[in-house]
Amino acid sequence: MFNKFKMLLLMEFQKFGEYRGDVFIFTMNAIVLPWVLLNVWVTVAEAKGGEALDTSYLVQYYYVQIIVNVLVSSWHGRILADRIRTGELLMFLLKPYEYIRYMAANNVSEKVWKILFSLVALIPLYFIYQSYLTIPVWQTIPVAFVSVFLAGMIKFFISQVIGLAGFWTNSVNALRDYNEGLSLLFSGRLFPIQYATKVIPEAFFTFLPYYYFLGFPVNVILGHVTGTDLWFGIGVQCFWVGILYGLHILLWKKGLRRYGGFGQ
Amino acid sequence: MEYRFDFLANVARYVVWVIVAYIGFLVIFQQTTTIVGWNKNEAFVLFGVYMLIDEIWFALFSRNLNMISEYIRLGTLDYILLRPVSTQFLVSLKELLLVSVPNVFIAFGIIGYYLHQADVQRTFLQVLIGGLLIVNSILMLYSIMIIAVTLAFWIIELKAFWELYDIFTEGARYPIGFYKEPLRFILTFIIPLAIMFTFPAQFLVKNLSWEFIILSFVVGGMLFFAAHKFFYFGIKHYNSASS
Repeated sequence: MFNKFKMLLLMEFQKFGEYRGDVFIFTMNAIVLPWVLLNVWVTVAEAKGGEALDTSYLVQYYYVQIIVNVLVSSWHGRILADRIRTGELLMFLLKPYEYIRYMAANNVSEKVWKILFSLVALIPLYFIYQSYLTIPVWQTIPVAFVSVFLAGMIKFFISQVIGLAGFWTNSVNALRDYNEGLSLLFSGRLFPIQYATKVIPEAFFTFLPYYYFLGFPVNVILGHVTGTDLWFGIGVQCFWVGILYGLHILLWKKGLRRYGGFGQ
Repeated sequence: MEYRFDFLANVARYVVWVIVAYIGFLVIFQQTTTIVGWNKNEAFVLFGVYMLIDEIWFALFSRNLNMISEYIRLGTLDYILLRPVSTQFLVSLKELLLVSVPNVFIAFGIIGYYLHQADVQRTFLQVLIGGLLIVNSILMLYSIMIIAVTLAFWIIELKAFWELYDIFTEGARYPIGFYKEPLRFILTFIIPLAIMFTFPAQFLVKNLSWEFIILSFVVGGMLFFAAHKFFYFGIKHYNSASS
């Protein structure tokens, strides 16, 4: 089973090598928005004055967000929906591996390329902002690793579930856009969530999955979530992975049953 | 009527994005009332200008420019080259996305509403110049993107068209003064978002000196000319499918 996955990984890694120009642009696109927001929030902090907003924290938050965003990114929902719509999925169903494994290998391989390319921006950005940046405390590294891994799983399965909606509707792009909009608001991408609680009720951050695939792992890496909050957060991440995985299984089975019907 | 659902879904999607952006601005301006000389209403005018330029660009050029790399890869550019009309004109305005029209009106609504909220009074001439600055910005955005897609003559396939567009415009929603160096330098001199987005909004809500207005049109004209020349330089390097 692992040999098959390793083979898929290598195959996909080579394939992305052929499209490295595009993957480079994808990576830079993932980096630009956090860099823009880093600048905006530092300016806001200066405009507010005093100690109200911690400039150091803001720089660290967005710098680490760039890394986490690359590590947890998932994009395959659109591809899956297209394959369902065009019938190309049938070709994958005949292959000697499960489609989900193939997409996981695709996801991990592209991430390896993206991580390599992101260094092109991360290294100069480190030198620009090094006076604000500190190395994370080593004790946080194992739990940060777990949190980032779970965050990646949440994002992967959200993307998968949205893609599977393609069995029932042609408007998956609209669903993706709505999800992207919600993600911008509730994940901590546009703003660190603690600065938004007067505008957005805290429950939206606590009970929706979005914060747990971006803002939460970023804050874990920065050592800003500790004790009970940390374990509660990891628990919520596990909960969402379970729910989304279950939903994926359900939709995949029901969808395939329905999909088979088209050709009969 | 056949596409009524798509039409409504597109408007709904646009409204969701406007709400998301609105909340994003609210969170920022809830921290402080003025940021580098821009208050919330003025910043919303800039946001409206961004939406307007983005939507008009989307309606006129997005799908057409995205197709250029396909024409090159599949060799179908041959048929376009044979026509007795400007190739750049044909590939740029082949198909219009009318689905964006309501969004353009929403963007106008945002600009109008927040100009009113900011208590800005403008003469007809000022509105006209503001409009011309916006047209100039659309042409600048078009020029930047045509330069980017012309690279497809050498690299053949450009899948990341939309991502490239996002990279160029990601910083457009905020006034240029919100950025620190070196990003401010990049967004002023390399990708001139300051001229394309901040200047028209600044002209509408505050004042923009004549020097900057003239500079906007000069840079716009130069960029358009450079894009035109680069596109035809790319065509010279085109090996058609039949050759």
